[in-house]
Amino acid sequence: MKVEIWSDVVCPWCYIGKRRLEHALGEFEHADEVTIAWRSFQLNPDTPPGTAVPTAAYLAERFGPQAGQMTGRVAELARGEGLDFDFDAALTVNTLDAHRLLHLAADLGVGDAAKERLLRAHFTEGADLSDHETLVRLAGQAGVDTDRAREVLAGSEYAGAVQADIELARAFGATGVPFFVIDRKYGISGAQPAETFLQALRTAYADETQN
Amino acid sequence: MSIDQAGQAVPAVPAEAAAPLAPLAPPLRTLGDADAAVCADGFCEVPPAAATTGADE
Repeated sequence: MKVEIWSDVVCPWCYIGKRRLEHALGEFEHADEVTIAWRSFQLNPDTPPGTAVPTAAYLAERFGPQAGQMTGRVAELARGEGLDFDFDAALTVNTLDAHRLLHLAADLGVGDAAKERLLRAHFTEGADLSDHETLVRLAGQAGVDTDRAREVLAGSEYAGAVQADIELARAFGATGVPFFVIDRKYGISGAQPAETFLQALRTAYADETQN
Repeated sequence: MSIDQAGQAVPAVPAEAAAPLAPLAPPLRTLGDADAAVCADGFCEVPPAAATTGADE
């Protein structure tokens, strides 16, 4: 079974959804038959490349006082998943380069480790994911060759793959992330509870083995 | 909690609205709750269901 996951590295529900899916896979009887493919999605594609804006200020400007309520509630729910979100330290950036690096990491077989490292860097450590040296350091910690990471970031490699992911998400009808697709047959939108993911995996597996 | 909404395909991009070069995507059967938490257009709402299911898991 192949689970494709569209997400952005600055999307809190994507990090929470990742944890919940991992909990579900920990209970799934056929988890060893599941492969995960991370797909790119940009929540803030219009953010100028190379700039980092404090997320709290960015959200307050766009959405007013309800932004603070949102981040507070999301951080509280994240704690329930063992995640420590620090929205006061987080920086909103254009994530295109981060996604290009994630595609490189996937090609090198460390896509999941890189995804986790970037999510933690953004949500817990307040890292600037538009800064190339920061991205190289984080990618290196996830097992990516740092020279190769610098080479990719210096050019436009994988930009087409990122755009293709985004267009495919739209073709599937996704309007937000996280968005999960199992075997190109089942769609699951949002950070569902772990139990829901588990039931979905079992449903898809049963359907696949019966057909 | 609804896990299986058989027959409800994820709304595909209407043919007339799709870009000429948009990739082909097969219709999907939706699983899970329709109102689960998502982020869209930079904002991440906390739906009522999420407020009661996440913290105490």
